[in-house]
Amino acid sequence: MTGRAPLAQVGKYPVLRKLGEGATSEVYLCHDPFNHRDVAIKVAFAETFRDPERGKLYRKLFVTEASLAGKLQHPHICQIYDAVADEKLHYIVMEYVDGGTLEKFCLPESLLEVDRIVEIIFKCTRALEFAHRLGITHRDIKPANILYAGDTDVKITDFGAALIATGDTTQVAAVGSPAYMSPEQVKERGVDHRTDIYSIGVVMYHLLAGRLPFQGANNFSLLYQITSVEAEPPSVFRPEVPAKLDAIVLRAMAKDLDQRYRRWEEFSFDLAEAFRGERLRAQKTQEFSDSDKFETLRKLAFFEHFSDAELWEVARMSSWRHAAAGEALMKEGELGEFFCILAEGQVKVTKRGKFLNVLHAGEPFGEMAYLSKEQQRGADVTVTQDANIISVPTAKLAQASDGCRHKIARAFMQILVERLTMANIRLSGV
Amino acid sequence: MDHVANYPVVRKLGEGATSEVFLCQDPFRGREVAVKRIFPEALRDPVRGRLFRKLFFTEASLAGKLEHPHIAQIYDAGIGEDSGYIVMEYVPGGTMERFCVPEGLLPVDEIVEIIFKCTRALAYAHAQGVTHRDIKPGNILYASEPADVRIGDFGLALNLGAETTQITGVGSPAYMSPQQIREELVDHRTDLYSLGVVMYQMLAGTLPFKGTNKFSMIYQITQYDPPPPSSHRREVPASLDRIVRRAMQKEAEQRYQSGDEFAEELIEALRSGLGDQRETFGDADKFAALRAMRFFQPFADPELWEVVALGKWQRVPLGTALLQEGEPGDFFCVLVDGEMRVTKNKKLLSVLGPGECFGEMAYLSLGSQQRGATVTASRKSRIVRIGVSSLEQATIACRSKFDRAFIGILVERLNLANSRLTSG
Repeated sequence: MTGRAPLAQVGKYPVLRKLGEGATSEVYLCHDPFNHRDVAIKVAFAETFRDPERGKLYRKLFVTEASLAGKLQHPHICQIYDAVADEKLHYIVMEYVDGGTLEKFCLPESLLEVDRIVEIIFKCTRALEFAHRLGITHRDIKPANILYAGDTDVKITDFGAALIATGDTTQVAAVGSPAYMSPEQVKERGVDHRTDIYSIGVVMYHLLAGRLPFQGANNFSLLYQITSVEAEPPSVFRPEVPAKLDAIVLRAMAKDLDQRYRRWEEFSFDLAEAFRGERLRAQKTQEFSDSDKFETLRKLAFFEHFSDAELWEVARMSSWRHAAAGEALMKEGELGEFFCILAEGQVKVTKRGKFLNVLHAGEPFGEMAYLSKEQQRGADVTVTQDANIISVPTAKLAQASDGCRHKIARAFMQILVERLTMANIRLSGV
Repeated sequence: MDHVANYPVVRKLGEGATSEVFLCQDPFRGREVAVKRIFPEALRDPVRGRLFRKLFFTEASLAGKLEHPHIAQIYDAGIGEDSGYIVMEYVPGGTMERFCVPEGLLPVDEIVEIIFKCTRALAYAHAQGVTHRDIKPGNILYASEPADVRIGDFGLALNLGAETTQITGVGSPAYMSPQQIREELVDHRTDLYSLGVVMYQMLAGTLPFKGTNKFSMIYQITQYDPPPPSSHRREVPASLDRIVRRAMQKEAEQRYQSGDEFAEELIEALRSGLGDQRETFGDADKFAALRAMRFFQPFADPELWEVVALGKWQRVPLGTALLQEGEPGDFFCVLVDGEMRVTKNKKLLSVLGPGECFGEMAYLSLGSQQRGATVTASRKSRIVRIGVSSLEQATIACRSKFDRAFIGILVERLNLANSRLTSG
């Protein structure tokens, strides 16, 4: 595979530089002049594509698979923009993420803080659940396939990688390392989404412990361990790893499918819970983590009809804080440039000292800043029980995706309809 | 040719002076596309070829940003040393050329519909800084029926010096404005001139200026006033003669200054009656009626055309009950003209005028909903009826505009109710 001359152009895309290469593929950073953006292009050199008999079939499969993976539009999945397979060249055009892969955080000297690892894995589990719901299993989850976009942001890449690499899934074992493969993959049994659950478990292990759960002198010994030996918990190698996380990793990596997480939701749920756990809280680098925000939003009635991607958008555009009882959150006459949603606790609404309303978790306030053109707050809002407040600046909401804005509008519409119904009942009762 | 760039060819659609167009497959997105392949000779031209390459992506991506129901969408473009291509929406019907000959003429009101859509689409493109510069019947396509138009081939560079080639040899200057012919700087008003010529030809079945050679045509375009379309087709009303004459003014300042202005006069002409008017509502009429309503003010043109497509228009005789209290309902209505009375238990709640909405609780509350009141036409009226399920098929952008409009209405009503509560 060596000795290939680097390409200067891939299809219509001029190459800026080479990003990397694997056994049967090369990745280039290219420019897309039509859409004015940089893209990563993976060029496959599999011999199967040139096979005079089966080549055409493989090329067709290649595009079909990429087209399926291209339907995955999610903040934590690397977007596929296009795929081409002709007699000369086979390549996939993808979103370019400038930050390397998770591989660099797998070494003992460069490990991430525990809470950040939990965040990253949480995002992976949600993204893979999203893919699973669309009927797509990744089958090749490993640190090199998780791109790092800064802080705790990641994007999973190479969906449908098996086909892309060789046109034949069974050959993967012979080419790459089996370190992240599930026992059922090793045994070449039928696999489903739980093989990805296993592999993410190994990635989490690697990120926490700075080493792989199984290390064999050769592939055979590695395969034996994957199918037959229990891994030691990560805390053996990194004592600060709390028991809860040990348990989560080992459950994800259970060899017996009945012992492993059966559904992605269970996995994410445990991660979010672990994050809130006391031992981890002491090491937390921020007051509200992304997983915290996501899980909180998902439970609030206001966000009931939001998709995962839309919830992530809200988590990103909002600011979160804790407010103690007695704190004044809004004052009549102030400029209203944001609205709030109460995540937890209780607040009261008053106007010139007169009590108007009390609000509970899930209810919005200050929403007139969004609903009408009124610039000034019409009432005071004060915390009555320690509260967590989500603020959404209207200027940021204006930048959100159409889908997200539509859901927010629908949520407010429901509230307005309820209020109007109540008002009409009171009016007819007068 | 079995491929253009990455796109497998289904068949050839046509050929021009500097390019040919193929119907192709886009296997990644699973759709048919029209791919225009630029001839290598055109790219090898030492002067224009280089300029063209330079302008290519700027023009293609600018034109690619035009997303409008009456503009053929550009999806992608690519250029190499001696190959260039543009991937566009495939529009299966044909072009306006076949309606420009005496034996193929369309009814006058249908022509007005078509030109109206073109004026609005041009106004949209002009607002985004894109001038077409090569408006002619061959560049106005239709998808299923003639009025289902799409303007194709936006972007001058993509037309590869359309102007110069026409003057010096290959094409015809018939649709070029006097400014283009004189090779002066042109702006969006050149498109309005060319559309005027298209309208002339569709009405009259002949070009306004016909020379025995190209140079006599050029001379006439810059010097003569054409006879009105009605001199070729008597049923063309004076109002349309006037519109064509205004659009085709030789001085850009004397012409319509915008596509909107052009569109307004077309609607006026349409409404004052075109003789052979049919009973159904035309799209242009619907569009103009909606455009004038406060409710639809925040809707952009592409969104408003969606409403035109998904709404059902109805004439309602006096006394018709459109909604019945207690009955289930899965649609809401906007009153176009006339008057409606809203009653509950035979008690009058309110009287609605043009531009007002009723039955919207069907959309606002997610669950199934019974009508809370009866709505009866208290005058002969026209309404647009919008099914909740058809709205769910609309683009998010269009639905967002409905959201905002309804939120405005709800806030107003809530404020009213609250002030009644506090005053009571």
